[in-house]
Amino acid sequence: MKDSFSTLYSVIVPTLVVACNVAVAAQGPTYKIGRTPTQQELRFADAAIRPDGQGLPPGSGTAEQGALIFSVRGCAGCHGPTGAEGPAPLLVTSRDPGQAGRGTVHHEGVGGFAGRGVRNWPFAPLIWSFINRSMPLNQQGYLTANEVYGLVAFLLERNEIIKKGEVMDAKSLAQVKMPGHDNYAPPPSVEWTPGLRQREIGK
Amino acid sequence: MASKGSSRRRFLTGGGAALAGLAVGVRSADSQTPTAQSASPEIPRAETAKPAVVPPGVVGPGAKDIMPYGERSRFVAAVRTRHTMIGNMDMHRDPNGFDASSPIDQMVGILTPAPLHYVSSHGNAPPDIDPAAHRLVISGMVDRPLEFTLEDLKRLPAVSRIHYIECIANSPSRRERTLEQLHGMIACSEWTGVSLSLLLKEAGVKSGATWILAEGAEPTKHGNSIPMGKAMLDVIVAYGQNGEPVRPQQGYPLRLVVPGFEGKAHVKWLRRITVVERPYVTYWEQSHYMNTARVKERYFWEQGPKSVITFPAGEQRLPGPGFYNISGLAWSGGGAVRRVEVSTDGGRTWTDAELLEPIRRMALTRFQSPWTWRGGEAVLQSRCTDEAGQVQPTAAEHGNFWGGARTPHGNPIQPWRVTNEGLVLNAL
Repeated sequence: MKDSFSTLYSVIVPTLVVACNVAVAAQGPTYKIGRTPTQQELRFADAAIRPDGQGLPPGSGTAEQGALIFSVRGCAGCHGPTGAEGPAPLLVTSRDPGQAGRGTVHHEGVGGFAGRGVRNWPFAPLIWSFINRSMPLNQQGYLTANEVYGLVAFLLERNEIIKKGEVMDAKSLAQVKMPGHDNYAPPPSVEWTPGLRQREIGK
Repeated sequence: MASKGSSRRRFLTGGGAALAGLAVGVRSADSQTPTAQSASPEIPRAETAKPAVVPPGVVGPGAKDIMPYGERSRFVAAVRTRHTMIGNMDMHRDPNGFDASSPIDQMVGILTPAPLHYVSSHGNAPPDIDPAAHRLVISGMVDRPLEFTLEDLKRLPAVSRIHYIECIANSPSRRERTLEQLHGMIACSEWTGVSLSLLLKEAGVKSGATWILAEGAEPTKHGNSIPMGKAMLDVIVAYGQNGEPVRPQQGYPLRLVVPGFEGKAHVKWLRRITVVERPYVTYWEQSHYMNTARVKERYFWEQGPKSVITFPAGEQRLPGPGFYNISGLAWSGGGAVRRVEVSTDGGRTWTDAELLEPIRRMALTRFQSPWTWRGGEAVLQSRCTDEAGQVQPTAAEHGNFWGGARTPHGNPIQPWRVTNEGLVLNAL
């Protein structure tokens, strides 16, 4: 009797434990509300691009092509004939260093917001991402991938970050090192938990 | 018409005797009821009778019908103040895209009426979103990508909590004068919606996923990276604000509410949550909100403890010596406000203020402290301590921490100087 019980337990208990573990790990849906988008729907045309360039689509462009797009696609209408005039945020700014030296970029830069330009952005692929997602204002989706690559090449060349004639594509754009990259705080090395601020400041 | 007329006739005929003597002299407009006209006393009817008191603007040609959606008294004039200092942020040049402060000097309690909630929309006008067409998509590193309609979300178990939202730029400076200019980019609401953690569990977060990227549907598509630890803790996908649908300027139909985090994290017009493995550093994060490497505080997002006296406060004037109830607001991204101290002598002595209920985590908390002004100069200030023991810094401590740079994330103690004449000035 006793033997059969212990045999039974030795089988049941581990089985239960394993079953519980599987149930927790699988994280099945509880409410089953919401629909499954198709793969096609999930291929967002305006998806955010990772700072290291992951997610950049095929296509390419040069500064020369970008200069033409900048004028014919209406960019110059808001940002000025060469991107350095405004009134919309300035895209081409001087090489004057120290624009990202103290505090946050929020309050840095000659002329505040206007002075930052894209040259102070830490990651080049994000210029592609922003133009693709948000420009021209209220006409998002109007530019092709090639046109966006051309515009990014144009802005990088005008800011003296790449050379004339360099072709920007998913690979080369990811390799462009922005001048202000090292001025920025890197992503946090610790996982966020409540009270992180206090612990960090207390150091 | 016919049935209405006949039922009235029945009423008048049947009840005529009982009502004799009432309402004599009111002329009947109903000439088609001979019974009433000849014998019975005339009864005032809803269509013709005038109420004793007529609120202005309610009746007459061009009058607004205020019954369906009530209005405040015409004697109440608190309005938001448009910000002009952030010129280039209005990249849109859209007159409907603006930044505005809440009139916190004229508010009582802790809740901000939705139409007075501060606005910071990066120059975007609120998109005109049809709720029936709006979708929230959860994708990225999940087992089951999901798309929710607003109706889907309302079928799920709800949460409702009171939380403040404060703009990252609500940082006081010496240049500003009024309370609104100095501290007005803050508001507090009851937010109702679905726990983000519930939605993420429905989608099944894959191992290795440590961040989410939340995105809005406005033209510039504001996005913000939020650590997974926070996303799974207490974040709300809100469809309700103070008992109503979220206001368009606050993100209708969906707003992410990230309690205690900087305002930029509370993504409006929420349309997409992508589960990822690192912060994505979107446009606004990198161009405006990233800290530079020299600064000790980097990616915290959690706001520090803060308080401000809202009466007496900047540019207000005390009519003369006597008793005043010092009143103010305190809050912290670190949890509930545990203590607020008030000093009326420039910081030499501090006394505990009374905290008014309700006291909620990551919510505005109202405090008050009795004060008798005996005339002469005085400096009033308040100091907040939160449940984690964090204490609001002085301006000097704050400046020291930030290396002297003017920064967002500002939570220094706000001193108000009361002059001999009773004028209250910013004494930062």
